[in-house]
Amino acid sequence: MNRVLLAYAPHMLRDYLMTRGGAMAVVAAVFVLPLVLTLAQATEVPPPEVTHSQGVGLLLALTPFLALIASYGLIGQDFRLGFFRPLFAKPISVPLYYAMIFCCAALTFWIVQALSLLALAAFQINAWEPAAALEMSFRFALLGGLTFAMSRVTRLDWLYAFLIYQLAAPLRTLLPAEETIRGFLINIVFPPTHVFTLSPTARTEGRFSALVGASGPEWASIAWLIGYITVCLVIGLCTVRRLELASVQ
Amino acid sequence: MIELQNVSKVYRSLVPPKPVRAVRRMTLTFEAGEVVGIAGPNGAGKSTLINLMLGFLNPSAGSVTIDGQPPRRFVERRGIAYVPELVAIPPWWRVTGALARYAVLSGVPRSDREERVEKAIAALGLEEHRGKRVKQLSKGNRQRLGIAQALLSDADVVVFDEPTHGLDPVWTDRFRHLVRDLRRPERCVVIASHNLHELERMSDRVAILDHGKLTKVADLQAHVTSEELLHYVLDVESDDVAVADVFPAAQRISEKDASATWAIDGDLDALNAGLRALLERGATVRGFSPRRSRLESAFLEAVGES
Repeated sequence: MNRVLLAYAPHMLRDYLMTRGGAMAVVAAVFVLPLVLTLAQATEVPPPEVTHSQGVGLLLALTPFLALIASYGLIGQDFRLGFFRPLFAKPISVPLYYAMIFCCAALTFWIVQALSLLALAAFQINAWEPAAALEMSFRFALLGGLTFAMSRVTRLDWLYAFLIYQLAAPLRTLLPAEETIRGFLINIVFPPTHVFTLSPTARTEGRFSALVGASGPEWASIAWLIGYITVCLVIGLCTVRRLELASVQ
Repeated sequence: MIELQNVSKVYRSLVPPKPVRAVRRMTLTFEAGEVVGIAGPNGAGKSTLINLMLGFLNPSAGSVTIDGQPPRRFVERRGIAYVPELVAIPPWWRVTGALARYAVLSGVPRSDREERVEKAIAALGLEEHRGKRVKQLSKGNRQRLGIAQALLSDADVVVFDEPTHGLDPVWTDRFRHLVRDLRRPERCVVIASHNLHELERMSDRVAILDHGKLTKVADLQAHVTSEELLHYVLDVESDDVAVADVFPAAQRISEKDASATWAIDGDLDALNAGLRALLERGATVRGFSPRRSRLESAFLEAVGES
């Protein structure tokens, strides 16, 4: 990686935390507070496995919101506001710069999630679950990656990404991949959100993520996710490299 | 150093209006060691040209190279000191913080960073604003910050796009001194501006654009040639007959007390001979100044009086 960019990384992370980290923390607090308040007011303390399940579910539900806040306009905003001009006259690689920003987004996501975990722990709610943490990371990267891929070309990147992300599962159910070409294309183009779906038996077994089965990680699902996320990020970086940086007329 | 070979730039869109030809078959070279101005009316293609030089835009035809490399490759390896027309810096950054960040991005070694930032702050008179956020700065101060960030690096290519936009007369004058200090044998400075007076005082050559075409390159270093038509204003105490005899095409503009002001045109020899003749006839010359600067004349000739 470019040495200049590495030296710039602390500034970039600090800026990112200052601008988006705050908003992400506020949204996390809005999610965490009701659960904490409900438990604080409860006359009877629920069993730890119940609070654990509630805590993990809360962090999983919070993930898409954090992913959207973390990744909307990640590339496009610099171009719309003109910040790119003094920035990209400097000896730095533009795609690397945005790859680093995505890393800052991921790091900030985990900082906020860690703070949420700590906040829950302060009220005797243990929400730490490795399988769920793995799923959160993939959910973040999947939705964040989709938004990132579209960030240079539209200012509604967050909306399109959210729609594609949400429509993936219903479309797969409506048009199964093995039946029609359209179904096959949907299966390839739309994000593999179906790999997160837990079977009813898994729920009764107390499992929190379909990515980790009874016999260990579901490597096929994980590979699909990694492939899809990589393609999204590469598309985002290619749009930065290939499209003209300025639009003057 | 910077070479544009037959460069054209067409802005196309999927929906009407028609494609816009912003730059048409332009061939121009900017050499190291010189300060080159780019002038032209609105929409002449100045900003497009600058964007092509920085690799922010790709030419539709022809080629742009800096030191033999495509602009983006050159910029990503060596960087360019660039002041955009509208300085856009994140508004929540503070002046010192912004310059520190740009110094890092410019590749200034850690040991020199603080000194370089302080030097830039002092050079642009931003001492009293160092703790302010960018959003708290006035337009002029923001422009100065924009210039300061460009001066942090030791780049061989310096590009200013309307650099004195929003600056007061004092800082416009100081900017001229900054440009003078930037002159180095290995450095090429390009300044795009509407202000011909300013360009004339800073540049060695000025490329004049009109409707995307390079219409003229005015060499301001060359001496006035005998054939060049000069336009002057003569303020003289003399009888009208004498002036009309010496300068038959002179036009009386105004009069005050005993003196009258005349617009005269002519080549260098004719003007010298005319003035000599007037003095011999007992006239008192109170003033003799160019009606239009050399660049202004070249500009009007190149783009037309319209």
